[in-house]
Amino acid sequence: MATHTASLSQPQYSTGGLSAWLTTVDHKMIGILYLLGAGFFLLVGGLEALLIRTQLIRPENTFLVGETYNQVLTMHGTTMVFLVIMPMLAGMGNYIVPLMLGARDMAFPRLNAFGVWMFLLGGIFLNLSFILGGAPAAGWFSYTPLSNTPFSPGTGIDFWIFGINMFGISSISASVNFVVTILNMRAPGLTLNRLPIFVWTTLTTAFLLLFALPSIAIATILLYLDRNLGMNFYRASGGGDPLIWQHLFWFFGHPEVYVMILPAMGIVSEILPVFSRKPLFGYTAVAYSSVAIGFLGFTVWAHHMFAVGLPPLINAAFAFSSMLIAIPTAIKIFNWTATLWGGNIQLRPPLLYAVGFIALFIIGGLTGIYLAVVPIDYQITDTYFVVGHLHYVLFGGSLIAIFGGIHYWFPKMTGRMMDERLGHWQFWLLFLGALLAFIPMLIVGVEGMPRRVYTYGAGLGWDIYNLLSTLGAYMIAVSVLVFLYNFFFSLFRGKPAGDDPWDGHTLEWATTSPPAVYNFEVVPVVKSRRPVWDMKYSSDHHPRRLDGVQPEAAHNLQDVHIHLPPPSWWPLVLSVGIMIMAFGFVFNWIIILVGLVVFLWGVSGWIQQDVNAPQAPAGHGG
Amino acid sequence: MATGTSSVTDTTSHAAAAVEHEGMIDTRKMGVWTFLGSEVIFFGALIVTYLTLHNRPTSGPTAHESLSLLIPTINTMILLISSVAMVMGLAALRDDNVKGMIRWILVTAGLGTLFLILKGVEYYEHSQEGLTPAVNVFGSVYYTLTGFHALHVLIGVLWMLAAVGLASRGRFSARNYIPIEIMGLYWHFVDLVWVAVFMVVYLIR
Amino acid sequence: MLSKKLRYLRYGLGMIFASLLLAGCSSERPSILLPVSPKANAEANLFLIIFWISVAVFVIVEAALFYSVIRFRGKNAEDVPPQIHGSVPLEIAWTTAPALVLVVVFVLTWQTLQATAAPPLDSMPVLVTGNQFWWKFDYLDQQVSTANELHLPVGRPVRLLLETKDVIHSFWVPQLGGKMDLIAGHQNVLWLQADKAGEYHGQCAELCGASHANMRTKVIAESQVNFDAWIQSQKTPSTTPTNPALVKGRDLFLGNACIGCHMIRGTTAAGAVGPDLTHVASRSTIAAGLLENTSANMARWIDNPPAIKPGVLMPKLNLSQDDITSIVAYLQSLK
Repeated sequence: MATHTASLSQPQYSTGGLSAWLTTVDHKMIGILYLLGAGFFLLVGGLEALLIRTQLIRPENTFLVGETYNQVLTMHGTTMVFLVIMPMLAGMGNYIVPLMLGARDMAFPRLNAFGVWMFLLGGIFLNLSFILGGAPAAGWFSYTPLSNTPFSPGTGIDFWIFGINMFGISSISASVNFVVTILNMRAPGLTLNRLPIFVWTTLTTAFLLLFALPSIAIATILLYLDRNLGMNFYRASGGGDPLIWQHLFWFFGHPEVYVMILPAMGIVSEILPVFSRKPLFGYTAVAYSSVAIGFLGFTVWAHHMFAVGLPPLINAAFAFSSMLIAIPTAIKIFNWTATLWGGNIQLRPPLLYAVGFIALFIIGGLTGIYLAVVPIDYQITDTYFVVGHLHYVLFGGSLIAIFGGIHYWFPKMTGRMMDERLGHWQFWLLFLGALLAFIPMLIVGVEGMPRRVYTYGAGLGWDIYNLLSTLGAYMIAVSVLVFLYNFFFSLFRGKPAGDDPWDGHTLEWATTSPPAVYNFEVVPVVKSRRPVWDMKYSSDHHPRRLDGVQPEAAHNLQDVHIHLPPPSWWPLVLSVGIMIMAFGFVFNWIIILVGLVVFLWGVSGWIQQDVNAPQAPAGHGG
Repeated sequence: MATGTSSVTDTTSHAAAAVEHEGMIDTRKMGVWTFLGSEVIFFGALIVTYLTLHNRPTSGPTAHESLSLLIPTINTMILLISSVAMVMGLAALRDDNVKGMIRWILVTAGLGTLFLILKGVEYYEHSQEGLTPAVNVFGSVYYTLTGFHALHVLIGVLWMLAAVGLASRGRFSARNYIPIEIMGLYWHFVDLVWVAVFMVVYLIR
Repeated sequence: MLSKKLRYLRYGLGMIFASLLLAGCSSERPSILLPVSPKANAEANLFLIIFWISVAVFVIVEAALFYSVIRFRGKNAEDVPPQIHGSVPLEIAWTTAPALVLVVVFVLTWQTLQATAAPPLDSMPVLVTGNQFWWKFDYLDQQVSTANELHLPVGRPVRLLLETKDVIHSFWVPQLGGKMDLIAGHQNVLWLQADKAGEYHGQCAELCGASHANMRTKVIAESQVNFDAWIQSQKTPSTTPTNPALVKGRDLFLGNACIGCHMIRGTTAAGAVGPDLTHVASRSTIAAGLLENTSANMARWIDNPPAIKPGVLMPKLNLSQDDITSIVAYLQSLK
């Protein structure tokens, strides 16, 4: 393969054309693929939510019942977790983290491409189950024995198992890449102590995934063996134990929650200072509390299992560790508020979403305490209270922060501004919709309604809450439509953004919008936590705007020979091979062999592709 | 592996205030270390599952009846020796002795293959005595834990054969030894996992 | 003292919830805030303490948040406010404050857990077996077996021994206290006690398949006298019909696939897969609390069970309407 070594005057590979997208190894294009893919699945998962809420709009409805309801319910949960929130955050990380680091790409560009293909193909694979024999129907945590044979015959659960593992491979690849990129590829002067909080949370998240995902990989593989080879891991009749599943699942499942919320907190921690025109209050506390949440996240899994009959002492211990997590969470909320305090608040859409995040996430956090208190949890676990709680964390929290991040970084990614008036409309519909949809869930849970029921009796007092909740869901749907219109309108007709439309603080605002393939013409030198602010303002307590200061270059421009890795088909080939193997595991072992051949062809091509320039600049350490 | 950006970091290495390169670990090596950290949890979860389930009362063969020490002890020796061979191969490469490296890597791959053959013999003996993966929960955990380890050995052997192929085309040298070093890291890890499996499965039955 | 205050607080919260019930206050609300057992009471009290703590935290934090946004909203985007990076005393303060609150919460958790964990020694054992999608209740001391409706004497602690025949279920009657899962290979224990006569709604709380929503139960708490009478009536074998219409119904029942799954003591029907029907007419509901026990509902049910309860094991037997009518007449005679 040809090697691309170029000076700045030579523009690199194009970003147009299908093959450019299929072979890209550029972190920005990969980030966009993640975001567009996750955006598509957001519509799928959202549609599923509307189907669920429509069935529950009145008691004894017959719109979507029994097994079909359970399929939609399972796919809604799985889609929103693995195909929307995680890839949205991974996509933003992919696009923004190297820019924030002053790096030219991720550490392993082809591995990065492999990660996005595993996500996209895995998403298609899992959703194909709807037309290939029925989707999984055992809920997003697929408790055994329900997910085992004979209670879940058919191929739905097998699709789920291999879908999950494809997302797992994707996330492990992305996490290795994030860890190495963040630790190894920072601009000169960008010490860990100066990393933007979004980078801190992405790093913590990467470690969480690396240590949590193997647990669900094992759990699902054992389930596959039980189902298809008659093994006995989860079968009490053969000496196995269904509770092993729950331990393995939640050892993954709870850190997974922080995987979905920490980067969202990172986004909020970036937006708040910029629109308060102040530095983040208590940087160290915010950064360390993220790491603390990450660590504690591994010690709380059994709080999902208080009602399985563990000894009271064990339950109390897990209650204690779960309560501890409230402390770093509270620290963050207080520091965010203090960041706003005394600022020059610019209430533009990104800040609106960031404040909306805090406002709703507080509800998610406080309702979480009820679930940590064991005697209360006995009552409200597996009820709509939990559904309300988790939606305040993942919808009111993660997803609203993601929308904030999109409004914030859209100008950087496209060079155009999103419409602010529509942004306000979307926000208020989303915010009020989230209150209307999920507050009634909290109440109806306390009123005794279990979760995951496709119908409920009239006369139990649950009707009105369900009606309100459904109306809230429709309101959220309208808000998403407003967003879609704004997105496409702004993509083509938005006002030109310029390089630094928000008067930003971090390095992504030091380059063009959208950034060139090589990100930065000159690698900037970082001297504080706000390198781009430093370029613009004097450094006293009441700063003044400076004029015409150029960023300090790390090296002489004449020396630059930017080496960019060539595009590659092999990540896609490798992913297709794995997808074919996954079909084989579900349907027929012969297909596994076909997939294996494609996979090995991909490996062989991958390792033989020479991505290093033989004429690399002097000083190449190898 | 993907090393495309190493020269990007090189252009910045001139910078005076660099965080980079001062005692920094090679990007690829750090990547493999990170991945192996994840693998530790993978095998950790399997081993915990094994410990939880292997002694549950069921019908059929038990751990005590089925397992004997002869083959696994030989296999432990084989893997330990293979790790030494791997170290020798890397040392040869660092002396720019590509031929020597290829010889040592082939020895390592051969020992890995021998391990797999003996593991196969052991599996065959088990199945003759009625221990199959589906017979009871001990069969399930035993075959799954040792099977996943064996799969890692197989991947290691294939990796070594691929490396030998690339080496014979002049891909590696004393200046470009990192790919072999990370292959070695992986192999030593697989070796260590076996030691853990050996203790958990065979020694503390 | 404390408990009296709590009662007021609960009353207040109950009013908030009730006022939200636009459809009017339903007498059947299975709310955890309408406890009728000592355990549910303790859990509801704890809930209320946490509720008011969280309301206080919520109000303070949201007020601070919205105040900052509104008070410091700037008109001129170019203005630069004082650049404040943080404050160590504040960090210490707002680390300590939530920690103190949580210590209180944890101590309360521990106390309630201790007070409610173990069943009193003199409790009455009932074996609860979960099935897709119905409940089997075996009164171990009294040697009585029934389905879906759990009769309990008021004021007497009961020890439920929880087992399952298939997947995980979770037994939950909110007004009597927290839930507990039924898991294969484990026997869990849940104790409860009804302090007030009445009927209490409950249902399975762990996704257990297509008709998870239809796996309901009812606790009927009654005086010891009524309970003893009920036990006595349940102990007797079924009544043998003399009326020819009922005899026809019985013969149809015994001649069809019904007996493969159902038991009617005193006849040759000895199936053990579905609910025991020896005294089916004495139950107020059929199909695990789904339908009121009337002849019309029973006929509808027997005609096509999966249409009413997706995934149910009981098949559509394609019986004629006449045969169904006869069978229903017979079953309705089994008081």
